[in-house]
Amino acid sequence: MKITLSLLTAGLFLTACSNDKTPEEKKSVTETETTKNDESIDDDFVLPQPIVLATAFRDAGLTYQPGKTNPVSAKDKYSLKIDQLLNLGVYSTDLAYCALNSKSQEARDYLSAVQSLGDKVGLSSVFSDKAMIERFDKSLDDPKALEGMIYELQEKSESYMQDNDLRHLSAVQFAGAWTEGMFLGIDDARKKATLGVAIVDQMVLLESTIKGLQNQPTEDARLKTILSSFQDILATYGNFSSVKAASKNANFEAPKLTPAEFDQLAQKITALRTSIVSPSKK
Amino acid sequence: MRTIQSLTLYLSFFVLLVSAASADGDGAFEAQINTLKGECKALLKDARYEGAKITYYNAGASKQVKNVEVFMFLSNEYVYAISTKKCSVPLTIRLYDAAADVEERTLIKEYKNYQGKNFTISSVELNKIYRKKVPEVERLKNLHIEYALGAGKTAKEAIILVMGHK
Repeated sequence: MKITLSLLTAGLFLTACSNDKTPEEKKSVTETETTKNDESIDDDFVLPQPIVLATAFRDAGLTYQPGKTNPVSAKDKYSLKIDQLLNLGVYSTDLAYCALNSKSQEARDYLSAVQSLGDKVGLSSVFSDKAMIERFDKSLDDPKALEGMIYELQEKSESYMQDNDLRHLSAVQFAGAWTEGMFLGIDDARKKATLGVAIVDQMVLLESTIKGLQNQPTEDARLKTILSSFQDILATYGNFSSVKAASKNANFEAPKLTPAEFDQLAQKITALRTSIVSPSKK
Repeated sequence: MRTIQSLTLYLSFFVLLVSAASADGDGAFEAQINTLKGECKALLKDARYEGAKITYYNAGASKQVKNVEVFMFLSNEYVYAISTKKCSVPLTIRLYDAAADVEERTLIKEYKNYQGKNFTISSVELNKIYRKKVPEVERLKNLHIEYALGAGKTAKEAIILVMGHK
């Protein structure tokens, strides 16, 4: 496929030259050289869904705190696609967090925010399924059914991205979802040991999140800034003495962070989360 | 000038035809992959779908290794449905508790000659085996799936992994 596309590119390029096309037009032709089923990378991964991360936190003792999630009203202030994707992830976690804590009306509001940003990033066919939204509304009083609907929605979203060769978008969305989950959990983690373990457990996702952000097809200044924040958190975490002393095997006992290390991690995650939900603020 | 234009147009038309034929091939391949993904989803039965990974590779004269890392944050049972029906080369699947660069790495289970079939793996079974090998560990939270692909006929192939939890 790649060869034929290259030939096509060459052929069209020759035609374009003979027809005195502009450099921009030539560029757009050469940029079509992509294939859907290129060979997979040697070391790949499956990132969990935001609702799974939120469930792990809930199971570890995280309770609902009003006013901690990103306000739904903020959804219209994200003008860059990268910010829309990141906050689609943030809102996906907020949606799951509310639903798992039986805050059904708040969950419904976050579904609207997810729909709104989903439309903007080109996933309208996933989030505009009227029948599904109606079923969601009918499930508002049934937390288990609501949970099931969120799984269904995330499955549809994931399948759509995979089928349409948009997996790179899901990596950015996941980065936002991971950050929001960590932000919601980290303050309580110092008080509850089980939650502290859950936070450390989810740090294992940071490397894959960074890989996902690095594999974006386009260079983007905003993405670079976000990526460097993630890399900074990974480097900081890796330098903690408790982490250095622990096994590299994620199945073994998780590192027990000291209060000072927790504070430092919380500070970094809060700063990253602020830069995602309020992109104009530094 | 007219001759060059005619030639390039003929060339483009020819290439478009070849490309369309190739795209049809890709479309058929992709349809087969989607069918197999659907079969894997069905194998999850009552487990909730959590994600999937399609590992594409070009089979050929040399051996190769592909890895997929998965996470199990919940204490629930996880189910992995794998389809190797689109794999014709000799395939060994190895399940490890860590990546290749981690010193304390344990092989949990190995499946030899597993090309050309659909099957499932349960975390309950894996945890039983793992606790025997590494008693100090409570349960698996992180699993590394290695596909060791042998040499064979040149072809574009794929292995489908679908995961869910109960």
